[in-house]
Amino acid sequence: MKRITSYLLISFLALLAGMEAHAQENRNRTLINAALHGWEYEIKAGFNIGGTSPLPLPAEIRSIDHYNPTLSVTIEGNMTKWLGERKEWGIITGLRLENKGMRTRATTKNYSMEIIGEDGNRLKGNWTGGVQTKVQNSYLTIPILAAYRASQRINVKAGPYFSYLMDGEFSGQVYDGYLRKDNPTGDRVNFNNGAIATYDFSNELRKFQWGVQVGMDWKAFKHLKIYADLNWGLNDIFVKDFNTITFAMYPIFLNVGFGYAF
Amino acid sequence: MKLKYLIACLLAGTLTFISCIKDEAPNAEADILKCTLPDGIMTSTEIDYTRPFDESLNAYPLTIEVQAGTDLTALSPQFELTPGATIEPESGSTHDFTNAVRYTVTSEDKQWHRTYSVSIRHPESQDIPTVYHFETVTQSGNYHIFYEQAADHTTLTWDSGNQGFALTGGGNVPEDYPTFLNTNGMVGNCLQLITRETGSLGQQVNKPIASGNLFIGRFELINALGDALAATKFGTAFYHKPTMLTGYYKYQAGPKFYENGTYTDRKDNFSIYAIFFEKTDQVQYMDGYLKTNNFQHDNMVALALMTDAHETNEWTRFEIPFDYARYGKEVDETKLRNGQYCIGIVFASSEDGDLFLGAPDSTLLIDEVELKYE
Repeated sequence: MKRITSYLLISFLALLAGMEAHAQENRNRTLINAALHGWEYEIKAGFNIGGTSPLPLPAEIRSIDHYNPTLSVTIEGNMTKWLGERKEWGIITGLRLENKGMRTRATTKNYSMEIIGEDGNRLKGNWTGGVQTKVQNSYLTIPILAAYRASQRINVKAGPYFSYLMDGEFSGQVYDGYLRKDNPTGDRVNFNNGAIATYDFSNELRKFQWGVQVGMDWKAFKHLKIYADLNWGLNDIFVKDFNTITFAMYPIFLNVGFGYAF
Repeated sequence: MKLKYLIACLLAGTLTFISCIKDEAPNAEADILKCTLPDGIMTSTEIDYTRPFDESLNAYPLTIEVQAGTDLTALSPQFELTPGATIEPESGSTHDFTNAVRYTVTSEDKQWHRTYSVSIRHPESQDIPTVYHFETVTQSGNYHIFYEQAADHTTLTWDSGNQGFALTGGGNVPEDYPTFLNTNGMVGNCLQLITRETGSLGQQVNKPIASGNLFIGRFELINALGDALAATKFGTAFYHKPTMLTGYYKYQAGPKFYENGTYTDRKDNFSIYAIFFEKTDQVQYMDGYLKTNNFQHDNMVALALMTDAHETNEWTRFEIPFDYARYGKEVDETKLRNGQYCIGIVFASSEDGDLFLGAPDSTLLIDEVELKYE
């Protein structure tokens, strides 16, 4: 999967470079022509800050002790077709390569869980203590957005997005706490003195995800834009028959960065 | 400015949604954390509150020992519970403890209950049996618990690491566990110990194998992961001076030894040892560290350690004398009568199983053991 990601990234960059390499005058003419017909092209680069989280947070989660959004880079090429005479409204679509990552440490109380090993062995119980989570997912995303030109410099956008998971990791460990086997009255076993149990649910991640995206951009200069988009996942990041985590988890990320408008 | 404002709004909105921590739910646990009786009545504050569920009692057993001569017919134990939990009958209410009294603890959220069978008894003044036939077991969950009964003796309940193995999810029937009853004994049934792989879940907690083991004492699951050597607590009162441990065994080492994440050529071996030690206020039992400290401990009085363990397909007799010279101590007759000495016997299918090293499938069968004494 890693290889596919880098392959796609390379071809995408090559495509952009190819566009760049086109004869300058040719390019200008094409772009002006396109603009006259309501087309605009843009490339964007930024990063994602956010988390993959149950919504709302279940009562079992007592505190978030540590949070690191990681350096989750996004790169996107898109096109806008402005409609009508006044070109106030438009449609945006494109292709985005993005990482959605986070590292968290949380403290839970009486958190119902079931660990299923690769050999099928199961341990079910209620966990009170620390849970460390690492999420690092790479997606190929197609947004389909409605755009509104609020002013000369500001565009507002909203619409659904569709993502394909190219490479994903969801792993972590439990530490400093205790497990009650089966239910809150079951046998108690302490995890202390450095005893931990690791988990890895990377293979249970859903391949196809979708959600809604709401955002805006601000044209700082003729070609340079600053943008912010909120991406709100609307389906569980795990496959349907995955029951170890009893609640659904959704990726919610704010994507901020710069765009270059041609 | 507008942009900054928008970003701030989006960020604040996201964070509010994600980071709003709900009010803490009421406690779901329903434990007796501590039990107290008026000053001086209890012989020890060392009470095991975490014994496994006993199916024959249909309750969690809790045993408190009081001074000889205490009137058992009207006692009012006080209980300290999980915060918010309630107990029925009430803490401090007076009951006749000639027989065990059942108490039910209800969790703060009212969803969960734990029923305890509380026994208050005088110190045992009878020895445990000294001949072990390994004919009888009870079942807890889906594993065996061995016990030995004999007329005019206190029933001996052996313990093992089976309760810990249960966490690995690898045991569906008693024969999946490292310690169980085998019906093909030398005479009748016998004890079978077999070193098991603990599967993916055992690997995750860095305990890749589980040696079959059986011992006099108790296994404290609560410590099994954090401090495994402290989880095996050996010893029970014994009113005589032991001289020799005898019995019969068969042993087959597993084909591949597992250590440090890989299989090696090392040959596995089993271990049998018995300890005799003095019980003091500070030292109520010996734990797994005794063996890793080469059996050195200030309270030790004698050690019986098997030294010629080897593979055999025939029932083979062993005779292990207790070595008193090793510690150079005299046995005090008064203390012996007062039950201040303890005996512990330990069998294991992998000698380094306490360190989670051993060959899966190493199999030790034990039958007709006798503890000889003066």
